[in-house]
Amino acid sequence: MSKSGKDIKLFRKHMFSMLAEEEMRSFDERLAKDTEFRQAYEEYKALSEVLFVEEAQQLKSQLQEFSSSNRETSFGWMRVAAAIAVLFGVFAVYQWAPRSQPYEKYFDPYPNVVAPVTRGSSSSESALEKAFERYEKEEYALAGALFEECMKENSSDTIHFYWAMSLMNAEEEGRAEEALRALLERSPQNNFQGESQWYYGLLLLRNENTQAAKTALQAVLDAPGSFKKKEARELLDQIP
Amino acid sequence: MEKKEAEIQSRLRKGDREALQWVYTEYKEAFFAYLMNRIEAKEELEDLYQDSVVALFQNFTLKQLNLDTSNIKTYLFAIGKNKAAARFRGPRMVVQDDIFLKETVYQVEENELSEEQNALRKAFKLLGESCRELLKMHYYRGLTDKEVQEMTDYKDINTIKSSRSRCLKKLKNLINV
Repeated sequence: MSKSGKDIKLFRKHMFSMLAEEEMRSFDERLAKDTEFRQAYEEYKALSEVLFVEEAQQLKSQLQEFSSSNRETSFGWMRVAAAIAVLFGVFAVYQWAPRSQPYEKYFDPYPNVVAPVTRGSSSSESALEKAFERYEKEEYALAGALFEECMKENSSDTIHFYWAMSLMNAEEEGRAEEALRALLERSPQNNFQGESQWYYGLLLLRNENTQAAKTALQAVLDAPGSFKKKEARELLDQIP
Repeated sequence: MEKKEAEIQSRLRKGDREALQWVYTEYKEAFFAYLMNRIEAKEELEDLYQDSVVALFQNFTLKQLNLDTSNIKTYLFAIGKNKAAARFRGPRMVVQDDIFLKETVYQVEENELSEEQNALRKAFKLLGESCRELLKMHYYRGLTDKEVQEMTDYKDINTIKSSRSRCLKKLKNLINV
């Protein structure tokens, strides 16, 4: 292993308290003597901790979503029976209703899982923070415009995804579909892969583009994570 | 070790999100019953439980944890106890020594980040996706350049090194934006 590779493994063992006593002693000695080593360690540790917290937040919001979708289906057999009855009902209605039905039924706004909005923070907010703030306040048209502005300077997939979400919530379905298609073409493996495919699928269903919708919903099932997999399966079973 | 326990542990090490959900569902009731006397508000208990499950998951993926002297449940409960003790003052909880040193929980709480780290965090969110991914592989998952090369399309280790230092530079510039 290269020197820097060895150092990373060592840094992490130290951070995770996984060094044996002897190793610990020599690590501390090296920290005290070797300035370059100490700087490298401090820099590594600082960013590692940030990313640890950041990832924890994302995982937690996934769990929250999982927990709330779970709650709806865990109230004993009476509820199950009722749900089955409702599903039959939905299925029957679906056969006759206009095609926008599943869209209305299944669409719910995607939460802000990226930037926690700190209320009352001053005028030094970046454009991106402002965009997320509007998004959380459900002022989607304005949020959309702000995200679009941010995209001029930063082509991140995350911003692109939230731009599309804003459009969708602002009932600009045509532009939202276009935005999601562009995102999925540009980076099919993006961090919001399952999410983008799900919303793209819903929009396609709305336009009665059934074959393409099926492909998108299938991609939801194949994406990492568990986002809307149950619902996608449900929809796939219903689509003729 | 029981077969199911071993399977879930192995899936957790791989970062399997479905295993995370499995753990969440499996131990929820017992965890609530265990801490109910101490924390009455259900929302607080739920919040603490979610944080504990996430901490368990991150420890498995980052440390490639392999529990043999204890198991997922004891480890999860130990995390919960520690978190409850840190969060809710009052009679100190007796933290039993039921997990061993190599199984120590690595944990960084949001409110422990320094001012500089908070600025880094803010700036990180503004980076483009490819930089975020590259930095995450190195700083979060702890992969060496060689391991990164095996997992990505970067053509050699030097390209990885130079891309990473370019991303770090961008990150530092974004701090002052």
